[in-house]
Amino acid sequence: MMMNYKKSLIITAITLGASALVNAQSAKFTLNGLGRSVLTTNSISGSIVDADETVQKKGTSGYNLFDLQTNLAVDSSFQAMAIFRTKSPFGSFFGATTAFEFRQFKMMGSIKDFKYELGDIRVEMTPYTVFNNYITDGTYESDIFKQRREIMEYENFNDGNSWLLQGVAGEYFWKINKKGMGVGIYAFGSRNTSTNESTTPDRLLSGGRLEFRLNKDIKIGANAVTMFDISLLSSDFDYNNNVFTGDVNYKMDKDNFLLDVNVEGGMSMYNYSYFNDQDTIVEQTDTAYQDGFVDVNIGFVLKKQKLRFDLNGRSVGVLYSSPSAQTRRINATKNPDLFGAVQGGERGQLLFDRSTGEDMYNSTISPLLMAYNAVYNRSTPYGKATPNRTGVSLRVGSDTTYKKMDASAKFTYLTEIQGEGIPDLRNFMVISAGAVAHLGKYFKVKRKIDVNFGVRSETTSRGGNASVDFSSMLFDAGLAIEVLKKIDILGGLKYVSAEGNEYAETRDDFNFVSSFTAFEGVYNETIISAGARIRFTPYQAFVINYNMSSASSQWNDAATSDANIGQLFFNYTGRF
Amino acid sequence: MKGFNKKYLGFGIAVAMLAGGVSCKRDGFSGPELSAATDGFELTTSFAVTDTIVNLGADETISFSAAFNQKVSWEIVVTGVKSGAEKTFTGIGEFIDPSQAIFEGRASSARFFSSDEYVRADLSILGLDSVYSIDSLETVLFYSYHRKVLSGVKHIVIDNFESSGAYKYSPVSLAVATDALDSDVDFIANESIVVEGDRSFKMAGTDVNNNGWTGGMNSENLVDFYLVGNAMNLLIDSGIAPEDLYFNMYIYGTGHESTAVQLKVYEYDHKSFVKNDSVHELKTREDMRFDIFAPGPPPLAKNPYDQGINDGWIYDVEVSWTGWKLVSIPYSEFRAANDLLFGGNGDRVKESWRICGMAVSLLAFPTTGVYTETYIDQLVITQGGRFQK
Repeated sequence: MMMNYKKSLIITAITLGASALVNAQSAKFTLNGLGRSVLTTNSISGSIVDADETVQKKGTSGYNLFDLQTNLAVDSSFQAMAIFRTKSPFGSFFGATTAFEFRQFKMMGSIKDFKYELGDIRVEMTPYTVFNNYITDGTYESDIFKQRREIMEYENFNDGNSWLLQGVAGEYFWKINKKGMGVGIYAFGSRNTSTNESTTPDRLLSGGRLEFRLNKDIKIGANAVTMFDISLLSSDFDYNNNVFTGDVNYKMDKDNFLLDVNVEGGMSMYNYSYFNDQDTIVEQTDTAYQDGFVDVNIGFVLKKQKLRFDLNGRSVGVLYSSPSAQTRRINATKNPDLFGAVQGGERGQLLFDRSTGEDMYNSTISPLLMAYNAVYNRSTPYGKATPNRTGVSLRVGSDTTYKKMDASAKFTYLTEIQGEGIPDLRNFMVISAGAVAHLGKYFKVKRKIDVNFGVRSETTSRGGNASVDFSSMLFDAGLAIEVLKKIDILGGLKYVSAEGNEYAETRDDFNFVSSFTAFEGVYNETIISAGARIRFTPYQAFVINYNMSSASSQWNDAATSDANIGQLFFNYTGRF
Repeated sequence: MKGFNKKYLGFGIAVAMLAGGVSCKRDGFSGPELSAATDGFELTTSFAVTDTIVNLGADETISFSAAFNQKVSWEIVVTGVKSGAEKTFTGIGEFIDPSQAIFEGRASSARFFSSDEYVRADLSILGLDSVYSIDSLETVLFYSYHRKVLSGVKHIVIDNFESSGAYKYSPVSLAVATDALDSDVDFIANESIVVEGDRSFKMAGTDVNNNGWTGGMNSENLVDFYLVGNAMNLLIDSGIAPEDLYFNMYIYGTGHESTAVQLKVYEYDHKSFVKNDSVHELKTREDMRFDIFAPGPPPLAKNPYDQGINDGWIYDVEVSWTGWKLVSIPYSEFRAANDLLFGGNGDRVKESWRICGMAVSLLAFPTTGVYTETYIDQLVITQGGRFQK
């Protein structure tokens, strides 16, 4: 089986290459790729392991990988791309345990104004339809953490706010006049889960957008996304979720200001049937619900002052369901591979794992609202499409045309629309701010001198019979200084603290809240990192740094738990 | 602000009003009701239990009660000291009625309670740091699902891998056969990795001869349900549809790839039988019992099951997970055996009422020739639904 698989990979690769050679006169064949070597030496100490001599406390791990991307462009109507990966864990000899796989594969092209993609496609629509939300603890990160996050995102197929899906997509734009009037259509179809031919049906995700442009300043769009099962006779369940939204985008661009207004509203319709038997409908459980949302964003740019203001108001219904917009990028319940077993069970995630662990990320769309960690985000754990939220936010930031500094501050106030467990509503207040100053540009020095900081403070409160008082803060600071030509000194600090009492909800298979777990306590963690980077070329860099994480937690009546992780990290990454 | 027009301000206001219009608070609340204790909370009636020793094997139960001076959310967690199994009761109100917290030995956790263990019960009140405990509870034996109807589902325990007993079918694990050409073969009762009771059954081995089969178990004469002295104990209903008959088993994945567990169900395809010197059509399970065993009592089978002339129905479970998992397979999903010598030579009509036995095997599948390992526990047939833990 494995041999056949490897054979098919090799044959396909050779076929692609051969095709390119045969068509060498007309087709364009290019190669690019990425090579990476990662090596870490790790240690753990603290009360979670000190009294147990059976758990691992030190270790070295890493890997070497090479992604070869082949690009074939026969003409504009047919192009193909495939990334062939060779990966070998650190410490394997002479290719033993080396894995070969096709990491990505896509065919695409355009025929006049019609564009198509087949294979591994990237899909992004609106924050309420198809959207891969960033995680909140990554804002204004220093270079030393940013490079780790880039590795995590690359390995987990995260790119901006898009989801990588396997399927087909096409788009067409019909120009009506030269003033910009036209009609565009985009559609995609993908398979999210494959059938086991008996109890689990195929689950597909498809959708599209119809956009009417009155002129270059006004766009009106209609979006539809549906996730549904192709039910078999013997299926255990039948799932169907439809999202329909409409949006209007207006832009006014003047000499001294830019105004853009975006309004989106829509509905979701959820239907789930669970049955043991299709014919007799024994024990069938049907659940269906609908809900909606509305989102208004007004952006205003003062061009001369290089400032941008964003005022957002939104309301997302209690039962609004849009899996491709609500799926979380980080799997909060994943126990880290690094020192995963500790005294008394699983270690659980630290901020250090969220910031450095490739295994924390999620790359598949979940129909269930995934669990989240209240320490990091309670107001919008599922992005803008987080259900049961209404409120406003105001953001002030530097305009992208300002190159010396990127800075912003944001205030968000949200409340629940319906209480959980009691009629009283939770209130969420979030204040975030941050900046990256490119001091080299200030001082007109050609070398890189970047200093950054970011802070996010969130408080949650609720009155009534089950009051809530929980606050948390995330802080980031760092610097990157080019001390010698192309040699940077990197430093970074991350700090998270949380304190108070909250109730974590558990949801059933229909996304309804089924129970609550009360928790009260304190959590603190500090990560200090320092290192150096040699940039051989803009595409190749070697990095060495040392990371020290110290975490302390005390929840409910349990004793205080401490974990200290030290990690020496080597990384070479080269692209071509 | 040059270029800014009042009509745009009007548009903005209209949009803001639209947003405000849909953000109204909704009545009620989602999820179960919560009510935390406030200052002055008191237990007006102590946390109490009806008895401190409960014989779970005899279907005895105990129940808990308490009363408070205010309405609160409460939770009782009953924990087995030996097994670590937990049973949780939750509620809200000014008292705990005994009918709300009846402990019969069933667990809420993945782990079942063990036999003969000390048990503690902890009552916690939302918003209160104190926990009220009763830690002198003792269980005798453990809860048996055999012949219990729970939520309309009838349970027939084929093997819990503890021991056989009166009025219980002979455990399939009594008769183990392994592939003599394989190595590292280990088919043995296990007490370290257990989900139910005190023992599970380990199946492991390296498929040296590449035939995919390492070993299996079924009782003598391939008639596992042969300890059926009378029609009352023929527990599978004659009229049950394959879609309503489930084979449930806990399977523990150890991470070894290509480990698969095969369930094989035998049907007795004799169409007629002799009784009182005349030939009768075999139409019921009692007819089947008579044809197999009569006139003598079991285990002297008159017509032992022969795989060469009867049906065998198969389902392969690929153990792709780690840890314990409950697998429930409707009989309708079983496929016909192909080998004419081993269950592929019956009438090939799936008839639940003709089931007369079953076997459990360890396979190396889909890749043969590798070391495979798993543990199994609590093999239960259910009628009318899946296993009701």
